[in-house]
Amino acid sequence: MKDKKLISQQKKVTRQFRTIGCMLFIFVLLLGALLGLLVPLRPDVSEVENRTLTKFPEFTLETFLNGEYFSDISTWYSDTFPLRDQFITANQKITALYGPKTNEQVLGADVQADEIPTETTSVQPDTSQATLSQTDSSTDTQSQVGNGEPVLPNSYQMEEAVQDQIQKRLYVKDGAAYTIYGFDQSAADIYTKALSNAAAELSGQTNVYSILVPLNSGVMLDEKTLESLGGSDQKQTISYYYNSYSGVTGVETIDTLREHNSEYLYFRTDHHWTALGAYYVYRNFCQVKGWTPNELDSYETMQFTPFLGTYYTKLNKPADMEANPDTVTAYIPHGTNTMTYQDKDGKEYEWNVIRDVSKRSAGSGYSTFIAGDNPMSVIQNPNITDGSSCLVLKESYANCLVPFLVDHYQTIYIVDFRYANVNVVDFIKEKQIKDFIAVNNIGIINSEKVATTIKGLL
Amino acid sequence: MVFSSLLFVFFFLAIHLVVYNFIQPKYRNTVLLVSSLIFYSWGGPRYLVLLLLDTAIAWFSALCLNRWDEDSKEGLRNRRICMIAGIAGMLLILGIFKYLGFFCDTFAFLIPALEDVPRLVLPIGISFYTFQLISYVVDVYRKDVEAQPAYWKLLLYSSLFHQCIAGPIVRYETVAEEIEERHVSINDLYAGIRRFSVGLAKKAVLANGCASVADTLMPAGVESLSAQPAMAIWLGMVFYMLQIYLDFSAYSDMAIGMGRMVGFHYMENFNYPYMAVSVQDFWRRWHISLSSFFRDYVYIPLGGSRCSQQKYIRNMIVVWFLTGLWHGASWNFIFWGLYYLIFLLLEKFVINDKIPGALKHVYTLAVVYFGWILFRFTDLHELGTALKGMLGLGGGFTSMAVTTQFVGHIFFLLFAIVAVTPLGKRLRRALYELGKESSVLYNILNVTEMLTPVFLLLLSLLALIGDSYNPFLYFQF
Repeated sequence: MKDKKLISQQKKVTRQFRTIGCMLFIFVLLLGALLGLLVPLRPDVSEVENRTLTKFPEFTLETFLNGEYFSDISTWYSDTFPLRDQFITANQKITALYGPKTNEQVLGADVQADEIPTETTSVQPDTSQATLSQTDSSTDTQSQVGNGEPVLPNSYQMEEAVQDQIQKRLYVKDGAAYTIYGFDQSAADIYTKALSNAAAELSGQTNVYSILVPLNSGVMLDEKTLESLGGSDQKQTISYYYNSYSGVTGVETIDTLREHNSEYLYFRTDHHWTALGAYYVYRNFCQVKGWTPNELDSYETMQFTPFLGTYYTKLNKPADMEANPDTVTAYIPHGTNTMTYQDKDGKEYEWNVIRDVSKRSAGSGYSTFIAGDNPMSVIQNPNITDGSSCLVLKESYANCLVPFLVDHYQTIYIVDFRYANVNVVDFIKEKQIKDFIAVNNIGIINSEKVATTIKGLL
Repeated sequence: MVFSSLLFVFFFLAIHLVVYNFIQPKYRNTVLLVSSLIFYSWGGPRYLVLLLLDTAIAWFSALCLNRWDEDSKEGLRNRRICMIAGIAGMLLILGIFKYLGFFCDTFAFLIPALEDVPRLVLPIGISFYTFQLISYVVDVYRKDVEAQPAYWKLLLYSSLFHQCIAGPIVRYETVAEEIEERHVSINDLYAGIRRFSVGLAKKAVLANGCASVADTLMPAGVESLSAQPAMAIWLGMVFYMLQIYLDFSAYSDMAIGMGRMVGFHYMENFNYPYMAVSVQDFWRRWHISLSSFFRDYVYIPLGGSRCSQQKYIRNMIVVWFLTGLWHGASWNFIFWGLYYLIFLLLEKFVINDKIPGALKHVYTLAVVYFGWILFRFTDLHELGTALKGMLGLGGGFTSMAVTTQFVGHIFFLLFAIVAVTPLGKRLRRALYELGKESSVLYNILNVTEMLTPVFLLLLSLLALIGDSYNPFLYFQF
């Protein structure tokens, strides 16, 4: 009898606890829903992930009917959820418990790479327009689907391809990360052909230069480690690119950088090179041009520390990186420190070539250089009046190199291929630009998508 | 919309539950139906037409066949005709939208014109709701259930967002009464909430975590796959094996939980399948609503096992061919079904319980493990590459990348393995029994029960925000 009473008493208590359990759940559910509805609180960018977040989709009948519109709303809803960065940081603490982090790691799948051809024949584009377009269309067939229109990847797909190349395969050791490189034959062929064709079209009027920057692994790691990691030889890769060109002058990079690899040429927590690394390549470029380079100690500098870049975020903020962060050193050009840039919506801004970003987050040190990545930027050096000009076609690797060029040209046009909205060759002709310099990291251009995009601009 | 998305949990479900609970009870079914139709349309409103049409066919054919009595020969025949016409209509739609492309690809070498037949996108959930509606028509024919006179109520059954797109394949019989009338006690609500949050966390944390490791170790595409060392594929398949169960059972958990919150009692769809001690046992525990569908509507009508050995084998071939085909319009799924057929026949005629006790479990897991290899690689070329890779004929034996994944996920892996066993359930049961004697343990149990749902919800929220990676395997089917 007593026992039964106890059990019914216990049941009552259990029910009370369960009621509270339900209420807690419903409270958090509704709180989350309310938070989700506070649209003004939604972030546009994620500083933790260092990227722009998804925008609310535009309505079209087609995307409405096939469900794309709704799935884009779902993506938008979770991508821009209020307090996203805080939640992500909390989640990273949880995923850190999944297993111990060893001092030496390889993240991502093993690299699959094409064989780098040792014998290269440079592309021989004909100078006559008619045949040129023929060669063009014959290379097109690889990237054509059915209807004959060349397929240009949209900017999202391309950014994804860039991310993929830079972050998917990493070697991590002692608080520094390195991207492993795997050569892609078709990307190389599209890229070299595109530049060669541009050179043919601009021949006699504009000099075309190619500066291919190796990935940090190719410069900073010793041969033995590199070999054990698999992947492709970056020196051979750059040679292959340079030898495939016709009418394009390749500027030596990797040998010089390797000679100096005891110095601080690449960041440890970010995939970019440092301005010091860029400076050595600038000296090589001066040699090609027959200029006398400025000495490093002649510049005024700015420094930003701590800098914790893309690798740091990608790797869930490892403590050893945090304990030993990077420092961004920027060298202010003698001629001018002002520039203008156009953002993705076409709005123009006055800015600095080297901007003080010390007030921004630890992830943004590299954005001190030339206002970051924009469709079109222009730097005018008032000290030079000879009408000299160049166009730099680039992604972010060129950002710390361009400031060194400021003292050698009256006008520098900078076009980021990811956001560009002009045909570069037409633009060069129109502005009568003397030097066309394509500055790219060999990892970033290493996919058909990216190479095809660049090709589309030329 | 997938259950494991922030939009579903913190927008759709939250609003749905508020409206459902504050509206007058007589409108609750309307709220459920409207919510379900919105939910379904989220995957592309054009496919809603198919759901409405299929339901109309089932509704109409059930009403038609009911107009005849079983007394006369003619009545029997007409009932049969109505049923067959209904089923044929629904299977035709399923065939066109799910299998036409596959059929054309397969026979294009014979009839080149088939190349030009347009390939359709698979409508979400069509495999699930078609089977539900077929079971309804057959059950009405067999007089197991009454025909539903109201179209919208049948539509509520077929479109109910809890189970419409990813199962379980709920029988009409199970919910017929609850559509008319249902009660929710606080214990029901709690059980529903707990079940839902368990499913959500299982999917958002465990299944997605397993998926990302599996996809890293076994990247898509023959070229990338062939560069992987043997250990990458062996280990990757372990994560995939965990993923596929956690993922699918999580969806059933969420469906059952949401049903429970509003008073529906759906059947269990999984019963710890990786604890099975034979292949036959595995299929009694895996996707129960599908295997029982094939048992009740294909296997037994064909004669089941109570017939000659020849006929029995024929029946088994039919059932397992269809089971494979149901999982996807691709040869690898058919092979996967026939692979199980072979082991089931072996167990019946050759093995006959000859495997000693402890090894039974190992044998079953091994069969299931290799089965998932067939299941994962829909491209036969990729499948070949994976098998070659497992023998070390691809990228060598192991690499630092594999070690990194293994060591970096070792605790996660152990936890996921525990999660597919009934250990948690037994622990709770033990605590409950001991709690009858000890008030300390009793209160520990109570507090745990109180905090579990909200804790899992928060954990899932973090995981879903931090992880844009959210595939759902069974959407294909």
